[in-house]
Amino acid sequence: MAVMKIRKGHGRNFDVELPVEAYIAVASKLVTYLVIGAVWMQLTQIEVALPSVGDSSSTSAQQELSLTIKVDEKQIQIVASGGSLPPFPNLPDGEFDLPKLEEKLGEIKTKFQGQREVILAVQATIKYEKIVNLMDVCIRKGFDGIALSPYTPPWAAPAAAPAGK
Amino acid sequence: MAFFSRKKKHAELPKVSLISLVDFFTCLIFFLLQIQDLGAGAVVSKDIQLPLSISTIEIKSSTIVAITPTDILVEGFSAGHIEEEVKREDFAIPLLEEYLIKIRERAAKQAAATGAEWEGRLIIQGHKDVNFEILKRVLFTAGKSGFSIMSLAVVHAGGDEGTPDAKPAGGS
Repeated sequence: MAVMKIRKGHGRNFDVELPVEAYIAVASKLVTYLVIGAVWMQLTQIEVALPSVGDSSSTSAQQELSLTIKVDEKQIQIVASGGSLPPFPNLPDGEFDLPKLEEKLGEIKTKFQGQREVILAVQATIKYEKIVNLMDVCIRKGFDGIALSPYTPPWAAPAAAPAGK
Repeated sequence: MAFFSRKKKHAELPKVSLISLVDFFTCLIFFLLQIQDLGAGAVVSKDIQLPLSISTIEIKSSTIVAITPTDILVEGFSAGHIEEEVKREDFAIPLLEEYLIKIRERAAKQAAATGAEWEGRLIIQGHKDVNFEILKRVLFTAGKSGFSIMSLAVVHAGGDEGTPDAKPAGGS
C-alpha cells in the first residue's frame, strides 16, 4: 500500500494507507486489453470528389485541362480537352498497365505543371483495390485532386443497359 | 561478505513507492484511449481488408461508412445488402440515406451548440474486393445526404510518401 501523509489541524500529521494495489490491478488489465485491441497498422485516407452520374466529361469544364482517365476491364485511356491518347491495353496477366499510365501522366505533368485535378472514370465492375492503385499513380505524379465518375465503355454498353447502370 | 549479509539481516525492507507506477499506468491508459478515439480509422471491421496505398494523409474523425463483402454499415449498423442494392435502379441507397441524414442533423445540432461549423466529413472503409458499382452508389448517397468531404480509408503501404514525381517514370 502506498502511504500518504495528511496534515490536519494543529500541525498533526496522519499517515493514511491508500489501497493502490486494486487500482494497479485494474489498470494493468485495462492496458493489456487496450494494447490487444489497438490497431497498429497506419491508416491513411485519400480524399475524393463526388462522382457525376451523367457524362463524366461535363463535370470539369471549368478546369484548365479536363483530364480524364477512362478505366475499364480491358484498358486505360487518357482523355483531355485537347484530345485523347491511344489506350493502353491491360498487361498479359490482366493487370492494368500502370507503368505506362505513370509515364504518360508524368509527361502531361511536365507540360501542365499547375494541373492537379483528374477524373477517374471507372467501369462499374472494377475492384476497389485496383481503383486505389490507379489513384496512387495519380497522386505520385502530382494529380491529387481526384474525382470518381462512373463510366460505361462502348463494348459493355449493351450488356449494362438492362441492369440500369 | 559476512559484513554484507549481517547488515542485510537487520535492515528493514524498503517501502516501494507505487505512486509513480500509478502515474505511469494512468498516462498509458490515456494514451491508449486516445489512440482508440481516433476512431475514424482505428476501428476497422474484421470483415474488411483495406487496400494498400501510398497516401500519407492522416485520417480525421468522421462519420464512417463501411463496405464489407456483403453489407453496407453505418457506424456499425447495417444499411443495406450489397447484392440487393446493386440491382436497384436508383443510385441512392434508401436506408443509408436515412441513417446519414439523421447523423448529419445530429452532428449539425452539436456543431451549432458549440459554435462550430459542421464539415460534412465521411470516411468510406471499403473491402478491397468490392466493385466500383457499390462504391459509386455509396458516394452518391452520401453526397445526396449532405456530406461534402469524402475520403477512402486505406492502409499506408510505405515506400515513397506520395510526393509528386518521387519515383522515376515507368515505375509502378
